[in-house]
Amino acid sequence: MIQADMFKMFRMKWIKICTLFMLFIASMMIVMQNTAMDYEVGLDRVVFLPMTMYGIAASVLVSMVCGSDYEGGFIRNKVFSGNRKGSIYFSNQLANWAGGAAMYLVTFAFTLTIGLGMFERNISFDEIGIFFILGFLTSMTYISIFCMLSMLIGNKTTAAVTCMVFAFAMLFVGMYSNTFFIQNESGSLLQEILFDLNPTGQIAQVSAMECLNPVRYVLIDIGWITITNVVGFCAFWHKELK
Amino acid sequence: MIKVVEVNNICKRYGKCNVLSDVSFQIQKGSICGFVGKNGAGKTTMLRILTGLQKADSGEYNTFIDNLGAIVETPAFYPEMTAEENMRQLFRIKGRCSFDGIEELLNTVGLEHVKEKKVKDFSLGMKQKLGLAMALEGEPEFIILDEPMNGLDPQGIILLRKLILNLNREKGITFLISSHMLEELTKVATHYIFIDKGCIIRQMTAEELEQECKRTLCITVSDQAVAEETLQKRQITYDVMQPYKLNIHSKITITDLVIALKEQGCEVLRCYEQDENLEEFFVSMLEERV
Repeated sequence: MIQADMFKMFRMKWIKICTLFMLFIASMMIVMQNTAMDYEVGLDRVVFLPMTMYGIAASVLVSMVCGSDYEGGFIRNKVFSGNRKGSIYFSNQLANWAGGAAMYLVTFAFTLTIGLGMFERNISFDEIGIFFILGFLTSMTYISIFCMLSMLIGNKTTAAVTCMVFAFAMLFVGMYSNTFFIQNESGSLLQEILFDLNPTGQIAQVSAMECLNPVRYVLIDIGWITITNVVGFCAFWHKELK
Repeated sequence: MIKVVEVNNICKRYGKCNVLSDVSFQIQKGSICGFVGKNGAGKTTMLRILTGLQKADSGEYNTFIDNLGAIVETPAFYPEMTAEENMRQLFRIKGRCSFDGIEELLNTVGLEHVKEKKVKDFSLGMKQKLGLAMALEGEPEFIILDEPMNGLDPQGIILLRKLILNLNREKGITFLISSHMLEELTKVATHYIFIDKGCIIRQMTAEELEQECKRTLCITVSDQAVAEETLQKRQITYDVMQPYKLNIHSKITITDLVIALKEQGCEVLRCYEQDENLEEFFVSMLEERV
């Protein structure tokens, strides 16, 4: 079933559309950083900047791919074939992680490749590597959240709307928090934790290559992934499939 | 007799509404079982429980087979994929090593010429056929079909009927078919389960049904008023279908009826026997229940 879900993920048009969207965003941001700034922009300000829009792309990708199982009812065939609901859920999750990872890697590779040629290289590859891993963890967090929502909502259109609203809400809250921290340089512990709890807040840190607390960051991501999978699995187990 | 499915005291509620109440039945191996009930009787809910899509609130069921095929409510597929791609996805889900057999399955249901067409462009009948091809994959021992004839043209209905009978006869596949097209059901079913308001009313074989279905005497008379008076005096139940045409429901021989009417000066111009069909039997069963 994992093979079937992987095939579905990479065969459907949504992975291409969402990746192209990210590449478009990356291109726009590279152009803006290269032309619109009065000062010379370093690679550190560009290489992870497109990831601020990753949540939007991930919400569309996951809701559309998960939703396709419900749209035509193919999820029923998975049950008729003797697959347990837990297997169905985790197989979908794995395929979504694979798709999300591919989108993240392609966007990062594109931005780094172009960025190395156009911007001052003011950071080491080790630093890029560390923030790459942090960003990757956050991308998997996004995917886990949207997969849980999509599998439980059980309707393609409703899942897409809900995931996108969620993504935009996280984006706005993340931007507000980021602005606060830029203006105030630091906040209370609660404010920092809330900033870290929001995946877009995390991505804002990665894009600026300034992480408040890497250990807390990683633990929160592991917590998000664990909780969404446990909740999603348990709820899906009891869900009646229409 | 070997059982394929045994259902014991299944109950299911949606809020305050009892959709299924103490439903119990058995399906014998090799039978074609018709599942008959009005809209909202609980047929689809029962089929969804048997296929694992829903859980019962109480009760249990046992299936004594390894491989199940099903179409419940509507056929299931990916609209953006072609028929062949959908079949390949199904093969992947079932862990098949190769895609051999897809061509044969599509040929069986008459979709070989549209295998490259996206399913979203299929007609309802074509989707139904694709669903059937998917249900047949893996040579299941037991197939559940929920309203399989919906959307099929007359040729499609005949093809489906022949397919069911062939698969049952040649491969011993057991079927549970829920359908509103009761006349079509009588052409294939060997057993019947009748359900109403979430309760099983009757379970019977096709032979038992044939014996229980009432025979009606249809007569055309020369004098309707005299005929009606005579029948009422003899407490014979009847219906007036058209002027001078009556249907006699009580048990009386043709000879006795003709003599009784002749004595009163009424000629019987035409007379023939007609069996009560499944539809009429089902309706009369529901009326008795009320």
